[in-house]
Amino acid sequence: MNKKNIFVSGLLGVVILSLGACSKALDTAPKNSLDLGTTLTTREGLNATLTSIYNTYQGSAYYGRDVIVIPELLADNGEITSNNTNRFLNQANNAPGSHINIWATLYGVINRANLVINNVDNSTATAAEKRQWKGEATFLRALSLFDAAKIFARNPLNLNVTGATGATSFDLGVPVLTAGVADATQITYPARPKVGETYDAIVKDLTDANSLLTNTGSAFRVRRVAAQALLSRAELYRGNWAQAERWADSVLLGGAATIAPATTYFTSWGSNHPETIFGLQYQTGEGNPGTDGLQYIYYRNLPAIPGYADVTATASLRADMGTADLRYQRLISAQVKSGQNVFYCMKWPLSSGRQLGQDDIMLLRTSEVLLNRAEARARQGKEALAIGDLNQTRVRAGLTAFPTSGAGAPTGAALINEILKERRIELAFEGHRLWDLLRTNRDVVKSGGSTILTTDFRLICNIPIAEIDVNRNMSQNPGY
Amino acid sequence: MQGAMAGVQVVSNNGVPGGNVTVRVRGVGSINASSTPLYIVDGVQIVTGNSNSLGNGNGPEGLVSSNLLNAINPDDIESIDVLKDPASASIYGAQAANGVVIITTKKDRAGKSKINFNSYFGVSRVIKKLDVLTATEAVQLGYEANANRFGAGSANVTTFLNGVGATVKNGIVDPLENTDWQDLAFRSGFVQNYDLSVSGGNDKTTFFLSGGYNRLQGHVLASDFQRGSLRINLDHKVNDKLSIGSSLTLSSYSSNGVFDGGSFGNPVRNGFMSFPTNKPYNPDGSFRQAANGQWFGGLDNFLTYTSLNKNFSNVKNLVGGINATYNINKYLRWRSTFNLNYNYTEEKQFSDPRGSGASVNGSVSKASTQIRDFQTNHTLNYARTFGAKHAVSGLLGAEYRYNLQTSFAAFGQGLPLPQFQTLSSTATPLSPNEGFGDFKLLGFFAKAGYTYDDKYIVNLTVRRDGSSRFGEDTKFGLFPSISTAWRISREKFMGKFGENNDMKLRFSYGVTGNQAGIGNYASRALFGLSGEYLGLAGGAPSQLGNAALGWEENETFNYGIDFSILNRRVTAEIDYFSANRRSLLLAFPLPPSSGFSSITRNTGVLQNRGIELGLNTVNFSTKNFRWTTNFNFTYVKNKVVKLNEGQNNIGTGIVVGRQLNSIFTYKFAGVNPADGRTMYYDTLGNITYTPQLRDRYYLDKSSDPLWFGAFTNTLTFKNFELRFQFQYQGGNYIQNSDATFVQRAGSTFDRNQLKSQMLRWQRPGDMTYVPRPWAGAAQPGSSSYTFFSDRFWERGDFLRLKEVTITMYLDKKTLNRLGLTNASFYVSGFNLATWANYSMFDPELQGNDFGTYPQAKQMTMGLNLTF
Repeated sequence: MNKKNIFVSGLLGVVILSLGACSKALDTAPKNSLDLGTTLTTREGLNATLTSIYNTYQGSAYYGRDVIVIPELLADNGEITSNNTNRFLNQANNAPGSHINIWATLYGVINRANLVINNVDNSTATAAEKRQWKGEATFLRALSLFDAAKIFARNPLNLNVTGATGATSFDLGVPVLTAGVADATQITYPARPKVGETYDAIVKDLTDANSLLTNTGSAFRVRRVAAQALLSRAELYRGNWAQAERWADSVLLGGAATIAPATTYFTSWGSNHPETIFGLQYQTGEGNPGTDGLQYIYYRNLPAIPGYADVTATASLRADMGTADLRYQRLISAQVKSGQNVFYCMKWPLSSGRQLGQDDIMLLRTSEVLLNRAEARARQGKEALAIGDLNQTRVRAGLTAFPTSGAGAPTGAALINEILKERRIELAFEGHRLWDLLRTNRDVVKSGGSTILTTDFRLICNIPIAEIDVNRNMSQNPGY
Repeated sequence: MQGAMAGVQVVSNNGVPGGNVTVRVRGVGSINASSTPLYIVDGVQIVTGNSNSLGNGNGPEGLVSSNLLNAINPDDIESIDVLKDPASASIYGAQAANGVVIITTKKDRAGKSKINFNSYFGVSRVIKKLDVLTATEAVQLGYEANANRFGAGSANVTTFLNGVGATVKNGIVDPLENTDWQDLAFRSGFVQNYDLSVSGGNDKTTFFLSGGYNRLQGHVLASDFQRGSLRINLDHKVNDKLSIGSSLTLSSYSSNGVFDGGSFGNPVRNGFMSFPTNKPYNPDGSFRQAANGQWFGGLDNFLTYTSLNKNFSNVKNLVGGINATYNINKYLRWRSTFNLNYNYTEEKQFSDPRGSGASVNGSVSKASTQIRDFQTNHTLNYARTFGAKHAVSGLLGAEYRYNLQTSFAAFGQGLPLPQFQTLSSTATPLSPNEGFGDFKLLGFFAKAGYTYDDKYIVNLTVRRDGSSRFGEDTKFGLFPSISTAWRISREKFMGKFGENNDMKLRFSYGVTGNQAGIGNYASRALFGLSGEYLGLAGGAPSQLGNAALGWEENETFNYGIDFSILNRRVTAEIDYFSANRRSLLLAFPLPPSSGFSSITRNTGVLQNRGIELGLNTVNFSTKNFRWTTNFNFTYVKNKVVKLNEGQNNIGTGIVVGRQLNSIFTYKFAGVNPADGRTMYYDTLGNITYTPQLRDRYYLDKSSDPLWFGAFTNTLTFKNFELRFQFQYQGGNYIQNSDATFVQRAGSTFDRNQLKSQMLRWQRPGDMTYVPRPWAGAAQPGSSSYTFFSDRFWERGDFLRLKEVTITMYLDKKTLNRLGLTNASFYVSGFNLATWANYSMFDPELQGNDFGTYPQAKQMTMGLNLTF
């Protein structure tokens, strides 16, 4: 009996001890992932989070292809060749619901940027890093929020929408989220603010980034000049002409941006173009989009350069360009595909020494800023200055300069039209066309002859059903 | 195990040698986590599932690494028991929600040393060949498809006929030479098996030794399996109080597999789809490929894959342990066990530069995976009888388990010569991958039992289990159960009945848990790797934390009756069960604007209800002849009770109020006799040729069977025994994806079709369900012939003669003369006949039939000797 008691108490002792230690006994640690909370306070964790945003941008669903190609197809610059690989057909036909469906990706980027901004001050990063990373993250948040505003909301200068239920003015923007989510309890169910408030948030972020960042470093990471260039675009998009001009001046006079001369302008596409204010580059082995990249969808030159080459320049774009334009002669490749005359864009040419899909992607470049300024100046009545800006890209492309005043000098609406035509040509296939038409209240004249009114609901994307189903505060866009 | 027990469904998903089987105890138990039961071999929890590390969409599923149960040599098994109701399973608490399969191996016994030798040989053949078109018929359909669409004199018709080298007179294709590609894909399988075991010992020490070897050549080209195993059991009584034991099982098993599913390298699928005018070889003996107007269409010559490529895997497995039992006194016993389960898997795939690897100049993938699973279990047992009528038992225990899985995989391409097949010879090694995962389980349990006069029985169990997979707040779950039984036949009021008969009423209630199939770190907030940019590695939040993530639970009520009547010649067990599978893990959707799409939460409820019947009868029993029958039947139906708050469905298959995996599809209405177009019913019941999404309906059936069972007869006459077993299953529908490829009425005229397609619509008035041949697609104004409607959901019901075995035992006299204890000679046939209404190979599968490696008919003969 005695012996038994000893054993029983022994067992109980073991059990109690184990119970006491049990929270520890069940400790495990993953090795291919880290604990989120602690990682986000470290220097390395924040740097990695920032890097992941650039990586997302590189993907074919973002600037790696879709966000660049689709606005050209939804508008009037590109159309799909008759022999094709079934890619982007619905977008080219403006089928309802076929747009740039990257809501979740955009807000994923915004969340990661928020996590960096929220945590960087309390992290182990150095003071210089804190400033730099906060500046970069603030810029990247603004860039993705700007994309969201373009894709999912009406432009503030063009709020009228015609949907199935008739015409209406729709002024909702996209949610502005500034608190990072790293835990389920932090999830909010945001409503849509006015589109003006969304633009306010974009401009505020970019202004902050401008004061945090410097101009040192490569153009393939965010620098101060990138914030200024994007500010000039954002102000132009919301019709704040004086500010658009001011920020363009900052870029063009600040010394960090180059207007490439014709000698390098035409030969540098795809590889370290001197016009790059901000762009993306792929190092070898870093998962470039390959056959899902821009070159593959836009261009081929068999047998040396393979490609789907599904997108061809429309007749109206070619008519605007004219055959004398060097940009037509040197950046458009006229070929025959399955009996059809096609005109490929060569801005992503598979540059020599690069792998398939490894061409650089310029997201902000000097000529755009120049044209931002031209338009902003023209809208303010500074027409001679505007024509001066306009002539810079024209002359480089082998066209004659407009006189800045007097006979032959375009004025008023004619000048605006010239600037927008120049913008169409200069920035062709770079993902600007749809937004330029929308913000200037211009209809989309498709290559087949049909016209999509600028108020057509299909020109902006529906909010994804996954958001609408879960988030009762979220309103859908008209027509969907 | 197949067919042996009511409530236990065993489905061979395919006929791959060493391939995986699906075992379900009382139906599907979870929506997102695992429904696989817990396997315990001699007290050791066995790591099940797969150890595949080579991710490959069309991967050779059949490789042995997909079924770790291959480690068990069937000849070592003494008995298999399945704990179905949670009261009996609840002592395994945390992991018992899907039932427990207890395998007991042959044990050492004291006494005269015994040597047993068992060996068999056999041949196998695919269960059936599909009845496909001959070359002439296939070209006839292709010709009509082109002529119907483009006109008999069109260039398309000429191109097609020239391509296949055919001529046509008066609309009829002249006879062509036929290649039967199925004959090239299938072959005679061969199996051989040897087992030798020795056991013996004295009152102090006993031992059991066994070795086995099994080799199987698959009935599909280029597939095989082999296993060698060795087992040692050693038990020793140190003194009256203490005994110790150890066991060690080593096995190594390998297979070469073929690609399955839609892969061009799948010989089964391409066997019945390769166009029969094609020849497999060029005149110089090389493999003929699609070129020079030859019609392979999209299909490669699969012989290049089966001959040149390699898909190999090998698993080395060790299960070993020691145990000690100490009898504290007459009533109290302490037992401790320590066990290790170690598993090393090697996988290799090689894609030959002369064949499928041509575009990248050959590629090699290699992976190795290690699983280490340590378990220790300590119990204190108490059993005592007070007086003549009171029996009391108790148990107190603790258990700990640690499982660690690591892997390494890499891939490379660009080989200088096809003979170089190693990673290091590739020009570009790519995507090295190191995998890591671990989990820990800790449990404490207690059990108390009381029996009065063998008449009233009550058992209580409670178990508290913790798993490292769950959140801080919910790591531990509590799993109680009660079971009661009343042996009514022993009551006085049953009178004489109780003397020769037996009857017992049972009731049990219990809760068990499930953590299998849930990610090791599912509850954590994680920061994962996310690409790279300009030489810097990226990382990002990959998973939101959920501290409330916890166990899935199975709460079951079980009502049963056992009886044995007519002098115990008829015994039966009948059970009714109702299980609430609750707290099931579901993806709870989050607003994508948060940067995340979902989080896992314990919100789902699934109900499983069913009845089980097991009946054993002795139909005839005399000195020389005995006939016994075993019949079992199970009916089980589940219903989705609850999903996330306010959520009525997840996709179309998981709908509140319906069976899991419900089928939502279009309703086929046949072929219009006037013009040969396919017709469907729209949502109003009218005929439509172009059904819309809204026209889908619920078939009110699921891909999970509703009923299954087996019927086994054993007849013994003198020294001969005949045993035959029928199996049946049904109430389910199979998604017949292959059928959409081979029932196109010739409209895709580069692949072969089923013979049934000759019933095509030809002229107005034809009543048929095969539409008019129309090249490339469906006729204008109708839907594609591949349109997935209930036309391609086929009934899964079948009845199968699973096994017939005739055994001849040597009589005592002969045995003595030969110095043997026991000897028998047997002949067996498996899968000899199947009754089903199914258009492809075999309805014994669940879900989707797409390039499935079919089962075989097998004949074996063997010899079993005991010295």
